[in-house]
Amino acid sequence: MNSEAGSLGDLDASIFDTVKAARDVEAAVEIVRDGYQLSHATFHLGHTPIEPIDAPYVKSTYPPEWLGRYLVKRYFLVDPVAKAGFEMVRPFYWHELDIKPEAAELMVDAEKHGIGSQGYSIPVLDKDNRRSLFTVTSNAGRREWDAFVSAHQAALAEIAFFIHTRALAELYGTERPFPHLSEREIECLALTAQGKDSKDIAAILDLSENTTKAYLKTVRIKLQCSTMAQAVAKAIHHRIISR
Amino acid sequence: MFISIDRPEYQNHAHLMREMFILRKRVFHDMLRWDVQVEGDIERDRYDDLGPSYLVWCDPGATTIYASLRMLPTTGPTLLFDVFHQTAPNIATLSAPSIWEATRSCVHAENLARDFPHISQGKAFGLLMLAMVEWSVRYGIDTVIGNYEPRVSRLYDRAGMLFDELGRADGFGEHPVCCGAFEMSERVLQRMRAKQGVAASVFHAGGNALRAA
Repeated sequence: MNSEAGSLGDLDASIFDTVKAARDVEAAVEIVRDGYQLSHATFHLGHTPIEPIDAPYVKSTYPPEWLGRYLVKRYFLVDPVAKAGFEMVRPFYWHELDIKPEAAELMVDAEKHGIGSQGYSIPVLDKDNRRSLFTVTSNAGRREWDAFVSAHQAALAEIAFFIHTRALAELYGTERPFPHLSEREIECLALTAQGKDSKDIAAILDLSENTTKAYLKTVRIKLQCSTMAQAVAKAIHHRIISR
Repeated sequence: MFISIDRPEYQNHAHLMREMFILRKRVFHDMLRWDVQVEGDIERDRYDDLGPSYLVWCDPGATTIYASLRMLPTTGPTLLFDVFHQTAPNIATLSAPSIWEATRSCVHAENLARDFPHISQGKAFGLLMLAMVEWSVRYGIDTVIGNYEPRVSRLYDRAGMLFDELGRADGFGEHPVCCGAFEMSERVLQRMRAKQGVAASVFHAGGNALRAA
């Protein structure tokens, strides 16, 4: 079954599921790196206006020497990735960044430590205005990297959002309360449970297939699942819909 | 040319940004009479503090504005969820990393008429929408939620967009305001280009879109 409507693709779904089963965020970034055969993956939770965190929350597959060096050399003050990543909302390729002279040393040093020549960073913004930044890097060529990113950027954004939620739970100890589903979302879920695909549901609700998929995806992400089959099972388990 | 402006670049485009906020005040407050926050001659709200991406059509010197809109991810705080929540709680609930909202889409009629007399406002709006679809596809966005007055839906049709009206609510201005879900895809992009007679990307093809401030 490839890319069932509203679900992630096979490789993406399997990586998402492994990330979900990971014992912690540290293990999660390793799973992402290995799963997509990247050079590195890094998750960085931003300071929040509500609860400032003293030590930066960074979980990364970067070598420890590099992370140490990054702190000692105070590279975070000039790092163009972190700067852009916590200010912006859209994802960006590293090659889009304008490297200022004061960051030149950092970039050369990073290259020396095998950080990866290509990078793609995904800012996360949640409903409570908390931010984080999820970055993947590679030594692939530019063209190959761009092709990889466009094939997996949607899944990477979902993984970033999931890890963000998990990191907050790790830090503050509480899983978020079960999310509220709207009537339309429950309707789409119930129809999926009856074996209807997105075309059928679109026809029943008089919506386009794209909008129907958007509802299914919203439900799936709220329930933190990689496939609609999982989402249906979880919804039945929590009695959001009946069998 | 079309450019996207993100927070690291706001300062570099301070003049153009101000022109955009002035335009928004004229369109949404003065003309459409929506209940928007106005300070002096500009319209700006708390969603502008989140660091949205603005898509702006401007001259090559980036001093004159022709059209603009604001993009925000639906995983974060969004205007449409918040405003529709009171009157129509089930309308704007879509939320996922690949679903974004577009708000404050507007065209500068005078600047357009002066510099592009052959381009009607409707056509200009179509180009702005084309820029939005191009930009969205590039960043893995498959759906955009937007608000609009009922009469604008024919402009979307004419621009070649594919969308569903999710619902509408009163109490904004003289007319009801609709909330719609727009498909962002390669297929829509081709359709829009064919319908609008645009051969290539409307974005300025410069590699370095971002300038860290």
